[in-house]
Amino acid sequence: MKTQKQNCILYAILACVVASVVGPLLAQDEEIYWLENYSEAIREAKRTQKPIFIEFRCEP
Amino acid sequence: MAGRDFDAQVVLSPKNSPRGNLLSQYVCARITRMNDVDIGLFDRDWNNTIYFFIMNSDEQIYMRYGGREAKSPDTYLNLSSLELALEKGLELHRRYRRGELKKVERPKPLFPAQIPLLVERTIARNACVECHLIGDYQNIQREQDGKLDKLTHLYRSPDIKTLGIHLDVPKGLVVKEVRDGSEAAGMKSGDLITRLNGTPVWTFGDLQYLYDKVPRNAPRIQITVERGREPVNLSMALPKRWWWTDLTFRQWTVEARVYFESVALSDSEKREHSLVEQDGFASRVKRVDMFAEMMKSHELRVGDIIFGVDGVEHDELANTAELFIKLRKTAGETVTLDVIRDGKRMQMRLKTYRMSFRK
Repeated sequence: MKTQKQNCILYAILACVVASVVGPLLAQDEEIYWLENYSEAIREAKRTQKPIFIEFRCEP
Repeated sequence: MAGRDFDAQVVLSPKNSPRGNLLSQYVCARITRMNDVDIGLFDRDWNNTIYFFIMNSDEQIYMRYGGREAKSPDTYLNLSSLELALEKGLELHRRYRRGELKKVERPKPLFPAQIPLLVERTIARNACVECHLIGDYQNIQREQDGKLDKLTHLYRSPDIKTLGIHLDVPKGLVVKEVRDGSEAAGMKSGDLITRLNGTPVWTFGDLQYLYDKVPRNAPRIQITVERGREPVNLSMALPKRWWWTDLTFRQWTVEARVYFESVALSDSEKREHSLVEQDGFASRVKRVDMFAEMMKSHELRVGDIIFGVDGVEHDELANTAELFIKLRKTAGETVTLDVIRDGKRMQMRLKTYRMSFRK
């Protein structure tokens, strides 16, 4: 009985660990990645042959 | 806050959405510190707190997205028109890579560190070089150096509505409604604006940027529209003061603060008061700002008629005393007004102010 309870706790901890690692990765994969550096954007565009979409945002 | 919602909607576009799919075909960058930005290449009206460029790694700009009008910074920000721009950007990039687009000369680089006043007030203090500060300190520097041309340097977002052009904003440059000059020139609802003075425009940002480049004394502009897949060239007369927009929303501007608003008198009203008609800027005060009393700027009242400033009663550009002061005087100057109140002529002092704080 005690072992079964321990296993449940172990699985719960494992599930939390997996969710905390994989969750953000999946979320990241669902969103557009925005560079924050112009030179890096130029380098990446040269490497990938993609055009650049650059936003200038003045944050208060 | 201007552009905040639009910014969030663009940046957080889900990859599996139509917009996300378009953005995935780009290298996306979001720059929030202007300290190291080439403000020569990315020139614009710096009172846009959000602005986009579609370009390539050769620093060739395909198009701009953004732009504003005086009454709102958000009027022309729209997700549907942005998607149209992103689609067009991909097409232009394909054409560029095939060698079908001519390479244009890159604008001369200019960095914030090259503007001494900007360095003194921001960079040297480890402060952020905010967009509007670039424009303001560029202008204050120009004023100090005797190089300020108010008409071109201050009024950087001319409004196409002064030509009577009202766009169907979600559809980009499709015209929704025409009035005044655009109607007289033959523009029609449903036209797609494609060129200004011969240069292609793809977005409202392109159109406003090029409109701002028109010399202030130009009598006409040429607008090309697509109508039923055919190009149609339209020659449009520019109204007097087409470049003028209300700048009172701006911060640290070199435009003099006068703390009143006025409306030009009609010719018959001028005659009634025996005032100069031709180019006379006699105008009636329609609103007095509460700061006038706080700052002891002036004692004008609503209904007063101002017909002279420092003895001058007419001007080829200004149609109101308010605009005359803003165009011809330096912020901080004190002037003498010729005023008619309740039928009696009098003189009074007006001290202008330079806005020197952030909202």
